[in-house]
Amino acid sequence: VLTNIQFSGNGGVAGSPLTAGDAWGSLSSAVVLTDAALPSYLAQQFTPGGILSFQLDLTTNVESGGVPDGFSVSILDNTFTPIPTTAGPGFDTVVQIYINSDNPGAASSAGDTTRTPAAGGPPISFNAPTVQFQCASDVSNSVSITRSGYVFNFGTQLFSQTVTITNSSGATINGPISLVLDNLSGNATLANQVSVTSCAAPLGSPYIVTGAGGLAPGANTSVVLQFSDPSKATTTYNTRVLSGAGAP
Amino acid sequence: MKTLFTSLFVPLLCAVLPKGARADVVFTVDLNTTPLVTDLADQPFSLAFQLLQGDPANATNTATIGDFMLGGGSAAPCPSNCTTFGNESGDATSAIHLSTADSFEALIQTFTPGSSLSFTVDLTTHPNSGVAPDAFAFSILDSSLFPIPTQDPTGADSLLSVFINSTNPAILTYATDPTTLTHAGNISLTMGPPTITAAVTTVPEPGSFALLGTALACVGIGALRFRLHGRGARISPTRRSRK
Repeated sequence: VLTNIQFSGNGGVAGSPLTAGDAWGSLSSAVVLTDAALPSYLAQQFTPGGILSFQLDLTTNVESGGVPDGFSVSILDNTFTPIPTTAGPGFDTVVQIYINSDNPGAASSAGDTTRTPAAGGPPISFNAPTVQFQCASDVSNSVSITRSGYVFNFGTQLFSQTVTITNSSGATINGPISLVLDNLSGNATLANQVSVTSCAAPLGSPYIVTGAGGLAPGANTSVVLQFSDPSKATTTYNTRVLSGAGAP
Repeated sequence: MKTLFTSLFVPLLCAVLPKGARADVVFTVDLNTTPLVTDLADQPFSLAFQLLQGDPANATNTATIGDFMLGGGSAAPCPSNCTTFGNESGDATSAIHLSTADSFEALIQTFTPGSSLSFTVDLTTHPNSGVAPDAFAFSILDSSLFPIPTQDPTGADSLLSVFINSTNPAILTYATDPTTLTHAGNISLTMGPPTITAAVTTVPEPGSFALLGTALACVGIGALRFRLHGRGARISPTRRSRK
């Protein structure tokens, strides 16, 4: 979902959107694309200003088949051919994201000054766009945390612990909700972690995503943590709860 | 000085004494183990008891498991048929002692199942002030030392677990999970959850019987003091007159 689409200076939207697949909306408001039909795209004429900016909310459900979904932005000339970029011939994207993890990276490309546009004229030079990722919000002060004791499974050699997160605020906490373990003691690793924090500091802390989409005031959700700890020492950690769109 | 002792120290001592008491939960566990008797693919089975520290900075809890009855079965003798963790002591032929003085104390002991299994658990219940409670758990392991699959939602496959988060914690029991095959025998086992006969009680510390005697002495001293206090009021002027 693209929102907050802005053209600085004298720039602006011109004409009606052209869509294919499962796409709707307009650059003058918001654009929604899904992979329900492929390819899904929206193209719409615009008059460039100094800077083009927009906000992207991208779901990151990884395909099980091995070929990831992809999102890209290109700027087309009047022949509907992408302006050459450093992404290379056949791609010529300005921004490209392959959804190959729950926290995929974004590749941004500058104008390719060695190739001329299909519509003619000299090569077009522009800088690669800046991509800023929005981190998930820290809602630790809006929840209460209850931990069970640890129980050891002699077969799997894993310690299990149930952690319950309760929304102690008066407002709904948006999903997805991630439980982050900061300062996890060195004797243990979180065996069922989804990943480690890469956006919301402190970075490098393991986290697990709860099944709850969101939490209404007073509602709770539980998650089972599984620790690997060959030393069988007591595991300690601090909790942090992240919520909403954006990378943990 | 005697008046000072009886006026200040004795009441203070008596006020402190009740803190010597501790809370325990004492309960009996009964389990129908008949399905294990015919499950030759997973034998030999083992009993597995564990007591885990939730927070190293907190008070020690202990578990004593005894009064074993195996319904015609038997527990194999230790140490050759046992694996211990931490400072665990004892075994299922007599009584098992676990404590949270170590982070992890456990006993695995091979046994031959009979028609039933029962034992008594005496568990102290000092809740941790820290973030995670101490925990006691019981499971039955197959010959590969994997626990028989149960409906324990944590995935630990315990038949019974207690999280010591209060002086009277819940005793959680789970039936086996017939939808998950055993690790060694690759078969489905159907067994109901253990039956718990709980006797939630406050038990004095072992040394508290001595304390109890002291407390009774306090009462006696208090009574004596009452008498002396009354008599002293009359004799004090006499003492002062002797100076």
